[in-house]
Amino acid sequence: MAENILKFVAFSLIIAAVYHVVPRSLRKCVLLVANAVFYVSISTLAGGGGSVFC
Amino acid sequence: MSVFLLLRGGGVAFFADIFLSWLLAKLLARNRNRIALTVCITLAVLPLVLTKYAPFIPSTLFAPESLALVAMAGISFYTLRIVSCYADIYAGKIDDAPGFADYALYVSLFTQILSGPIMRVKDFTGQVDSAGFDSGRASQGAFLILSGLVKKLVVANMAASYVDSVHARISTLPALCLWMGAFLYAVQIYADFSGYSDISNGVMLLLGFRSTENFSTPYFAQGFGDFWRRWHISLSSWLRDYVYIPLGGSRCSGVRHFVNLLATFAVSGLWHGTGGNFLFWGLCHGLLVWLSSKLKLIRNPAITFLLVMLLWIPFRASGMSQALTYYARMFAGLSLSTSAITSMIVLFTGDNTCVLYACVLFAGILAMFLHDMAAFMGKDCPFAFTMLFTVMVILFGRMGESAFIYARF
Repeated sequence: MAENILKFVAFSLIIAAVYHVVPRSLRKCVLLVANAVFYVSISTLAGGGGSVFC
Repeated sequence: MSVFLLLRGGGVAFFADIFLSWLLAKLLARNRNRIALTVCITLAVLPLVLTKYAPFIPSTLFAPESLALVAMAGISFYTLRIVSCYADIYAGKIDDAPGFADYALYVSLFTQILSGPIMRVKDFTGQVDSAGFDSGRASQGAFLILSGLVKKLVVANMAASYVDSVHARISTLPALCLWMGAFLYAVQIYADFSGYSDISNGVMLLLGFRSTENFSTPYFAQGFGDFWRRWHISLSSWLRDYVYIPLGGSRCSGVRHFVNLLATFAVSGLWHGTGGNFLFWGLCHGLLVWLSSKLKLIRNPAITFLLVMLLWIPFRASGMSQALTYYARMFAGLSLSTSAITSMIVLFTGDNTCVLYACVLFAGILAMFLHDMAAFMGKDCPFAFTMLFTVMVILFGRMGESAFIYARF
């Protein structure tokens, strides 16, 4: 859904902001957590194989 | 091993799969031999084959429903990245498998997992520790995101409604509508996929990473070889490095070179989809890449675009029979009569707003064309396009339309 494209962009912008705010040593953790949130949302929340974001 | 990731709702299984595939990468780095590489690649590719090609496997051998298996979102791109990592370790392009965190980010980064681009492990992991905020990159990234939104929300979504209408009524519409449908699908797929790539690369730049360019004005290509150097660059370079060159590439006899090209494009077609229409699309591209190197005529940009556009028809069709019907209707009884032209325009919305709709869509296409033309000529005028794209998204962005085309591959 196009709304979900905007959600994806908004999610990415939030992650980018957090990524640059946290100490350098935590940056990988931010990306790993973002990956986990993103993957779980596109697979589990949409019922497996579906997509919340795109 | 990788079958874990196919289990329904398998968030945990997905993370377990990343860990297991990383362990295999570590083992491969310590035992760089062909057998280990074959085992690793087979285990990586197996889930993709089982989920994508399950309808073609006899149910006595494999019944995906009984195991509650589903295709994981982004499995096609995830698989290509894992195979790329294994092949690069085997070839010695990287000294050792990356650390677990770097590997997990490489194979599953949220900006790239659904539709790429397919970065190389060395290019990605080399930036993980050094990526930081850079205002120049950030503004470039913001412009790319805006450009991607225009391509997707204005051009691709508006073109999609016309294309869908045409494909729903192939046998009743005049040939002129089918030609317009074919043209708009060529526009739609480019705007859709390059729009996604722009957004993905824009986010990567905001994070401080440089990603892989996926499109470079493909519809200005001079011949099919040139087209594939400009279209979905990360996939075509992946196929070149991991399929075409290992098969022997062009450093062999003429016949073998031809066979290598066809085999590589057959893999490309089957990676996109399982139907005969995808195989046909891939083989035709392979044939035309070969012909482009022989015939100067095909290296004309207009001829190249026309042939690319015609080959998108089987790519969009539900099957080969629908594609053949489309071709038959397109070429039989093409007329430029007033009624055919009226039908072509009315199809945009079906009511009296059709002319306005067509004007907005073609203004979007023109903006995209001018942006590509500026890039093709090496001219950079981001401020003008930033203003134009912002206005277009606000005024004409179509919400509530379809998902990205390449997300389903």
